[in-house]
Amino acid sequence: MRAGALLAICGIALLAAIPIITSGTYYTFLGIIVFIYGIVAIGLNILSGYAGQFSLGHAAFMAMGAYTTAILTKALATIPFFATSGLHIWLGITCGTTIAALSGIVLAVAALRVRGPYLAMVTIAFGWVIWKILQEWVAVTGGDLGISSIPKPQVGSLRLNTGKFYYAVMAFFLTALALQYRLIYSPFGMRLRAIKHSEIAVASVGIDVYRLKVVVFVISAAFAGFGGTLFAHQQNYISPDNFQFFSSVFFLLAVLFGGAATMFGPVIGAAVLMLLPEMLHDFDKYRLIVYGVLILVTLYFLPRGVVGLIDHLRPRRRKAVVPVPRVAKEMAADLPPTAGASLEINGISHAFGGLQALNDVSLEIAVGSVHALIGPNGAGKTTLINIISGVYAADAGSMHLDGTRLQSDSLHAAASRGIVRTFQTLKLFGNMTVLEHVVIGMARHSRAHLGHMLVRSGRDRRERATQLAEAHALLGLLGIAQLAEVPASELAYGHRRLVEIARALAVRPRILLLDEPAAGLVAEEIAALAAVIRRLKGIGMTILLVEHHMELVLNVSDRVTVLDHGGVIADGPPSKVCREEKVIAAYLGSSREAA
Amino acid sequence: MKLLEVKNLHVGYGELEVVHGISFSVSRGEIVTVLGTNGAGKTTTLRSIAGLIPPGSGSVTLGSARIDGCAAHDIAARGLALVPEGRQLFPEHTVLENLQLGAYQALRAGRRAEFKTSLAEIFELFPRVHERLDQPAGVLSGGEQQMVAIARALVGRPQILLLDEPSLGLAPIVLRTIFDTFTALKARGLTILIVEQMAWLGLKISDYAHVLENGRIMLSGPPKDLAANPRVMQAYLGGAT
Repeated sequence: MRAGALLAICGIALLAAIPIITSGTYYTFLGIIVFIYGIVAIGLNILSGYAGQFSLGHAAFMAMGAYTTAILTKALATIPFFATSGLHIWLGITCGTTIAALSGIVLAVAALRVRGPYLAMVTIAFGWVIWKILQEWVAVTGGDLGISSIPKPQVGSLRLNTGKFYYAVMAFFLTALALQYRLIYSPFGMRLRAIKHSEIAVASVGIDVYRLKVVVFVISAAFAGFGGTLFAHQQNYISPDNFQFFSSVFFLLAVLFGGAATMFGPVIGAAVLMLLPEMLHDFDKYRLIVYGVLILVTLYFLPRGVVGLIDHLRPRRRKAVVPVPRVAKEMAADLPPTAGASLEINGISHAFGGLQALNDVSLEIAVGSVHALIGPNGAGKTTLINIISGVYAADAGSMHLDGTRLQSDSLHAAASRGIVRTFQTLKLFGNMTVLEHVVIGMARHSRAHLGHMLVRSGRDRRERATQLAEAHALLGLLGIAQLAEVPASELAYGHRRLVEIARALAVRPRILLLDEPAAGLVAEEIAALAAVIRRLKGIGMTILLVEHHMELVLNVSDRVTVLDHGGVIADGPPSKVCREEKVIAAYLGSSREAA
Repeated sequence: MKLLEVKNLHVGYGELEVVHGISFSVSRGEIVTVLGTNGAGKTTTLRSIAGLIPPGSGSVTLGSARIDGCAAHDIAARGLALVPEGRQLFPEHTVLENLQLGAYQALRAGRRAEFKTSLAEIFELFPRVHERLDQPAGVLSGGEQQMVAIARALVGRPQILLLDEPSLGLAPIVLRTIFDTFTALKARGLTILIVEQMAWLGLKISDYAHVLENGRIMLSGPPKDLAANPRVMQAYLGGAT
């Protein structure tokens, strides 16, 4: 990172030199605006780029910040104490940011029930409403005329002119960049990056996805509000025109143009899109057309943004391929004993439209046992797992976890009770590394909150160190320790399955639901998986195993339940169940070759 | 006569090379199986032959024409069909619609009669597909979906069929039906290349087999010879358990 540090110092020095090497205040003024837009774009990048939640209403949060500080500071400026101490400015900035964050909560709670294009629609509507209020509530906002003579920023009695304010805003901007970095690479950041790829999988490790999204939204709104307050004090004059729909589009464009989900992308985007029209002054009335065409062309040729292009062009050495050892060799990993739970399922029925997927299914899964659930494709096995893990609510019937009635109304609620699952149709987090998957699985046991992570407190450091060690141990247990740093999207199918299992184990389940864990594994890997399952049983975990590889089922399970057409057709010890006529006819086929 | 010939094929993803120069061929009317562990490069090899990943270097010849570097739809039009890992059907579309998409080239050229004939042949092979024709592919059971995936590849009347782990996630009773089909297809003159982890299934029906490890072919031979090899026994046939 030497070269990186050097580059950063040069960059900062260059930015700091701008007011000195340029004459007049024009470029300094542009610099301030670029920093402010950069701060807002960083906030939007966290929400839209990293977490994948698109907002087209960020100008409204900027407006919240700007108007709050404008109104407040103007009122306080008449009081001599504030006029001499300059505290009203900083109070205004703080209040403006807070109000923006609070309105972020209000919007997020309502808007985040929906996803994708619908979320974008709700944020557009929000932006529109705020804009309209600014226009119509003349008594407070001044209507279309806006608010003028907003106090200039000052520290103590020292007024910050454009040249001095530049350095203050630059410091804020660099802090925003640093915060983005801290946030994104913290365990919290891993979680928020993961929801972009699979909300269901995030919920499956016990994380309340809705709450997480609200928090991210609020952080993003706070960045925008903060940018808005700086904007108000820089401009001294604000009006609804500054916060139109187009401004919101501008910020999203800046993120996409520069490179969504990259550290510097939003900043580069904001700088280019801001400075471009200034440089196009010569084109005069064709300015907007040239601007539009340039954006269109760039987005077409740079689908991953400017930073994506730089990444693409940078020469890289070809990584040597790490040969993949075949069997789990690091079985020595220490696993803490687990208090397994029993699960009693009584008369569960569930229908999809006219299809009765499960019909009065009852089974008892004993504490610390491996219970296999087998049956033909379409028999209802996955549906049952979905019901146990809280994805669906059963139409009829009841479940008891350790004797107490189980009301699993959501995946994360089930996971927080210790019922953790894997997915037959894999749900991994795109290009996040294998190690990150496992660390995300540990969220439920994390005691460090966002504040700890941002300041990198002692607790945060210790916790991350333990989490990493535990994660490596879990990967070792599953025989994929050497893949820790590989993006999941580059893994072979069978290895992706093992990552799912590792992530589920990271939650420290009391009952582990494995949905076809051996699909895509070769015999040797299945043998290793069998050893892992026995080991988990050994530490006391209860396991429900849905699987087609009969050899594995026979090897590890204490009890087998056979489902066919949504009903139980056999139940008992594996050796007995396999000999039953019904099971052979419905599932195994006439000869036992299939094992 | 060689129908598909792969020579010194290198394939990778960005900076990571996965397949390091493998060579093998499939003769007309033959079933060839490639075995290998996870991460060995099997899927990468198939996808590269089918034109979904551009090969880094080496050549792939189909019949007499070089197809490496051709676009995937071009290669499909030349008579190479891939049944991808995990089936990849269009779940909201009916079975018939899925099959129509498979016959895209023929239907676009207006050869409806040819599509009808292909369908009739497929129904003979998979009566279940006929029964389910109007249902959305997503509601079918795993075995039925695999049949539809194979049928979708067959309606294009390929010269050679590439299958990526046809056994994945299937109940034992369905496995046999699916693998019996391959023998039936071979009897009709189709050439088949299978990538499979359930080694005993693949070995039983194939004429020749290769073992791929860490992106290189480590062993090749008739299935009988491979099945007798202790290393293959242990790793793929479950000799160790």
